[in-house]
Amino acid sequence: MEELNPSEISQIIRQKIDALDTEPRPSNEGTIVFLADGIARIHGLGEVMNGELIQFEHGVQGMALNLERDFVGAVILGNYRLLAEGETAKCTGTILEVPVGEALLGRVVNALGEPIDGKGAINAELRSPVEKIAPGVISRQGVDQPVQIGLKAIDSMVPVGRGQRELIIGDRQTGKTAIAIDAIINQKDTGVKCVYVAIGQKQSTIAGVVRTLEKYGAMDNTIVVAAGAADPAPMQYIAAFSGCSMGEYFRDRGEDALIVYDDLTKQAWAYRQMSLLLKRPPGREAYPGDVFYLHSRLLERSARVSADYVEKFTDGKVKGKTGSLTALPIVETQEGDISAFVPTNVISITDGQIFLETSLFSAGLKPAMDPGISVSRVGGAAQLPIIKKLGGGIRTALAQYRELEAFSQFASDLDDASREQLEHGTRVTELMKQGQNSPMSVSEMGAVLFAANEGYLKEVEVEKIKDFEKALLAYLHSEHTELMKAVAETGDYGDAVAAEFKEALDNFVSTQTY
Amino acid sequence: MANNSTLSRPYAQALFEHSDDWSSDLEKISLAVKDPGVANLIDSPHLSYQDKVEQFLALFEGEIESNAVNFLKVLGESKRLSLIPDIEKEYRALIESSKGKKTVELFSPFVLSVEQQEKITTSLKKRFGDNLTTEAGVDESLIGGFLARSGDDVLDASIKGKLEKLSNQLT
Repeated sequence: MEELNPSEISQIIRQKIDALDTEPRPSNEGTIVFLADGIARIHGLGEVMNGELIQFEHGVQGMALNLERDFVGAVILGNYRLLAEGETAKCTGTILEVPVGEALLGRVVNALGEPIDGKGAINAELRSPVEKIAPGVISRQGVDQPVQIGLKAIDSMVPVGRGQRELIIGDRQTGKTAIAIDAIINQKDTGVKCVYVAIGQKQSTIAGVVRTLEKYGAMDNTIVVAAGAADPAPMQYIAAFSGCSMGEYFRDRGEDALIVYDDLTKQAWAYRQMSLLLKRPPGREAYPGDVFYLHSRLLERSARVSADYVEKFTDGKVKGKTGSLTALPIVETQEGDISAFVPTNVISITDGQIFLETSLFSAGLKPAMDPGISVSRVGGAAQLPIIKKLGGGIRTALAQYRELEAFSQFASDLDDASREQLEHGTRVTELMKQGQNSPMSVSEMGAVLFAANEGYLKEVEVEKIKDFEKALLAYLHSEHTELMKAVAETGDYGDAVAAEFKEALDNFVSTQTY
Repeated sequence: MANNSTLSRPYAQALFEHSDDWSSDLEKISLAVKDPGVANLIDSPHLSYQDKVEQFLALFEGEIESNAVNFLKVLGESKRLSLIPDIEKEYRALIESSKGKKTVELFSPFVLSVEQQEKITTSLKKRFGDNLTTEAGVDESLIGGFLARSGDDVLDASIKGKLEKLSNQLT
């Protein structure tokens, strides 16, 4: 906290007293008639709106969710143990809002946008409602710019575009969060602002993520919204929407933002808990009927918006710039069951999924993405030319490899072509492995993919692929700095670039050891 | 409390739709129910509900209309005699709203003089409409000023309310 001296404190108190409005104002009141498990039923509040913020005594707030004939069912945001039945509750006439803006970057906040990182107050000028309607068809624009995740396997096979929603799905301990964190780290010099929403996680895990982001210098352009496992269910439910509003601030002002919801399964659990306590009828897996709407209205807000929309939104202050909010929602499956309720819902809402598998993870293939069922429905149009051109071969190589691999287990001897394909596949699979927290630049990725496509890996033993890659990148960075820089900046690929890559690789293979 | 209004509303609605001359009977019965002795009778575990209804009806012999007796029997069948004060309240609210009237409860920390009450009533008419009656009550915890309540709408002009605002502002 900032240090204050006594005179400043008395000045602040004086200012607050000056600003006090003692004029009697009419209000709409009710009485708490039932209070348990973070839920209040309030009698009265005849003029309350759905989703309106309710002011209880002792400074506690709540949100009206069930408007019944005689009651209002409300969830309590904060410590409900301070309240008691028989106390009054007042309408506030406002719906829940969170602070938004640049001031939040680099901070850790709770679901209400209050700082929880001990770095003092946040001086955000603007506030934005947590629940907003997603931009309509007219204000949108196609996805045609990439978000580089920095992972070879993902950028080449399931590219993500700005404004896309790409689901990361898999069992526990398959590296879902790791991919999202890598994506955030890779945005540190791209100008893409990031929001990481942690829902229902251990505080220690959240602290670990924040430390990782700080270590790699990515925290400065990241907002962390944390609703831990110990926070009440309503906070876990709202956190995703709060984070979304914070991300929308950048989208609507012609900037690009990336939001990670980690994870939506736990958010659905929190919502289920609230709904059951509010006595809404349970449906499949005891979730309420509007779980699909819960996730669809959230993910619809991730969009690419047109320059016209941005210009209109900013009253002409920002011209000719499109905005985007890319979402990487995470869903945890149980035993790989993607046909459970929440996974099927979110798969159908998003524009593709990155499917992570325990067996691949255990086999040491990290990221443990299954290329067969991982897809990106819109990212292809957004891929950089070099990745698009060179990455195309990777997917085919792996597909053929998988087919042959199964087949080759029965066949005693294979023809040369098949054996070659099998060997190439093994090498490409090995090449797709990538360490945690080490995202790659476009030029590095381009060089590695070029080596794979042009057959430079043939002579390399499978065990040595990693060393080969490492040595190649070191060589290119020291001997071909210009080429690497040019490719990283433009992402273009043509005959000239191909020739330069070929020359560089020929040189490398003939002169270097690995 | 709120549960009671859910239960009592249909009865009040039925009475209201039946006729609008239930007021005096309802008031009598409801006064009786509020009496601790009668309340004990209704809550007593030693009597069967049928006996309770009979004893209860005996209290009003010759005092109320036959319709009201029938109404009490209906209530007795569903074991809902204790709902009567709530039914009366709902019934009165229905009559008032049908006449466009509004009752405003006016709380002050001390008993108001007639002039004071009239003055406040005139100013309240601006907010709640002309056709209102005030019911004065005393609430010492208000410290000073007054608090007016009509249904869910509250106008808090008390010292207590101002102090609460101050405390909210400072925290």
